[in-house]
Amino acid sequence: MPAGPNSDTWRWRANARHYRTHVLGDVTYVYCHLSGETHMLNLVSMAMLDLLVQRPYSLAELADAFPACLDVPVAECPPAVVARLFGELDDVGLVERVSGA
Amino acid sequence: MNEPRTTDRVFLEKRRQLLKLGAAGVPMLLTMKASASSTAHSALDCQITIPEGLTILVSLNGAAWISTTYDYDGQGLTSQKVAAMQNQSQYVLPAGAVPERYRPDGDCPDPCENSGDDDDDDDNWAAAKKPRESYLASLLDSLMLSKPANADDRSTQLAYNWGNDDDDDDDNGCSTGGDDDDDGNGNGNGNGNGNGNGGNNGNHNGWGNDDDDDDGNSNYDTSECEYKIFVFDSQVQYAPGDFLDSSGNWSLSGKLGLYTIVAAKYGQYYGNYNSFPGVSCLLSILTYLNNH
Amino acid sequence: MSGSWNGSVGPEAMKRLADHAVRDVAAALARGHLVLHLGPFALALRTDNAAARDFLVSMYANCPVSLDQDTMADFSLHVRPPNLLRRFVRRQVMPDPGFYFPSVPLPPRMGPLALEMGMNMAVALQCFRFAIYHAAVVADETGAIVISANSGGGKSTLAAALMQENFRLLSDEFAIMQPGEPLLLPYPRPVSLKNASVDIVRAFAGNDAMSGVLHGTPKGTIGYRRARKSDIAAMHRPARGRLLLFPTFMEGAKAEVKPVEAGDAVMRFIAGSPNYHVLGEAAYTSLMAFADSIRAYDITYGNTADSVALVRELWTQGGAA
Repeated sequence: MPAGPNSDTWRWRANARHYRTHVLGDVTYVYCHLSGETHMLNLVSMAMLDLLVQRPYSLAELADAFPACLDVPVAECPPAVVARLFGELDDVGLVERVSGA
Repeated sequence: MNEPRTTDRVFLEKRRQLLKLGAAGVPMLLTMKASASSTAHSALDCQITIPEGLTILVSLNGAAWISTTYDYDGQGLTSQKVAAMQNQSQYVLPAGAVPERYRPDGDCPDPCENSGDDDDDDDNWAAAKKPRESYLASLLDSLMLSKPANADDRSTQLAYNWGNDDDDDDDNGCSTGGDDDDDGNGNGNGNGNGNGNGGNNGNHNGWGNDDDDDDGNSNYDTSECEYKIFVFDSQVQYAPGDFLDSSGNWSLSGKLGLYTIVAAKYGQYYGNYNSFPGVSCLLSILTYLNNH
Repeated sequence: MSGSWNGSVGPEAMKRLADHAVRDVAAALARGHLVLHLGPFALALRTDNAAARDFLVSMYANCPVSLDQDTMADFSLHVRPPNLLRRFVRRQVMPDPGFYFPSVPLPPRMGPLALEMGMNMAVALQCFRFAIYHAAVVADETGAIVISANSGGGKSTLAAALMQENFRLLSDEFAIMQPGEPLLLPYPRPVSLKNASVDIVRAFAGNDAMSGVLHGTPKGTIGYRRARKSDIAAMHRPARGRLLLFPTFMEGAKAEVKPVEAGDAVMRFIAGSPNYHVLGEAAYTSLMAFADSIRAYDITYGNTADSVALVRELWTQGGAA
């Protein structure tokens, strides 16, 4: 199961210096310098990663912002789904907790 | 960084469709795994750990919702509980995924049965009671599994079943919005509903009354017969290989059998790149069976 | 890159195996002093299995070898009995690349299979200088065709057929990619053919191109199509990938081509790599450049002629690299 954050108040971001990306059609291959792993992100997970690069988000803020980012109603992208998608990024170490947040 | 494609309508629609798959539990991120050198791996010995509290909700049409967070009180299903469970489910399998023997029998006393109305309703209801298992499901049930379908097939299959599923979810087994006129015509006091299933008081009338539709639906809760819930009260560890006989055939029963089917189904749809607990174990077994 | 060796003689100037007396070759093999310099690797071989030795002498005749005790090698392989008893009683042979891996002991006559399997294992599991992918590679002067391994897909048969079409053989078993850039390195060993493919390839390549046939192996009937002298001569000339194919052979099937998205192709290609995950960013860099340079297709066919026609068409469609 996705690990996910264990505090709603924690804020998370993606640090673009920690990975390289290469777009191949609709997917983006991401090489993570920290883990040495290569990940394949589709348009949805890449959108979330890009969003998290822009500024740190708490999970609640992300649940608010992500549907708008995808241009879909919240009903299509409810908070539990956002949390699980975030969990996928978290599981592989593409996001990090902002210290002090 | 990604190309700035976010204003392209085709792109947005494609992303939206992907999101639907994501909401259904399909991983949106895959980690590349080289084949490495695990040649000594004993495929049949792997074990699956089912987390404590894992709950599987199965609908009449064989769709399944799987949640590790929903806390079922064991006091019978209601539409509210079903909705809550579905909202908290991390994985959803489309209609036809679960074999009939794990589905509810759908034997709800029909509150509309004396109304003398609408053959259409009956037909629909009958169809809902005995949904056709998908080819994949029946294939899976016998567990003569072949390789996971390719991505295109998966999407198509999922999209197809997904559409069916939505319809069924909304089915209350009694009048639907579209039937209002007909219902009003004939089913009058249709209070065969007095036979109501447990928890339904059966004293409401006016099923023929268009205005009462909402009340009728809310009072007549058929969840208990339209859904079946399976709860793993404590963490369970088991070796799916134990379900194999000496000929390599599966003999699945009970909750563990259901879990094995559901996990295998996920593997079949989404391959090894999938966070569903136990899927890699099952796939290693299935691969082993296919190769030997 | 090339294998490491001791002394001033590079592989190009080194004697071919056929230039050595068989007696000397046998003696060097028995002591583990025979080093085969093929493509980027130097492999030290040791065996006293007569079938393996004869196979080597015949099928690797044009390969540079050294028989000196002091020659350094990237890998070593010992084709030997599994234990002392099996050296004498109900004799068996197995490949020992110096590390444990599960393998079925074989009767002595299957020494060639043990040799080839061992050479595959040595590269697949011990090479970390290059990214290794499970695929056959052939090339002409404009670029390379990479044929991804797909069980029953007919990779080797197709590679052998394309050799007949004047493509040079880089490798039957491995796409060996230079780290950091998408160059594919040749490792032209014999093409391994199974069952019906043995006779199919013999029919168009001729008897002289083929090894003897091993019947009743764990993989069925096995035969090898030898790498040509010209393939060996070009073994230090890398090629850039232009086509990536995922073949499926189905008896009697109509020839079909289906484009594969680059992103999907890469995922499938990585799945056949034993070391991508170890090489990290260098492998990522070369693979992404490779993905940008190729067109990928699923091809389905029911006979070899169809497969060659399909590939020819795809190759022509791509134009010059």
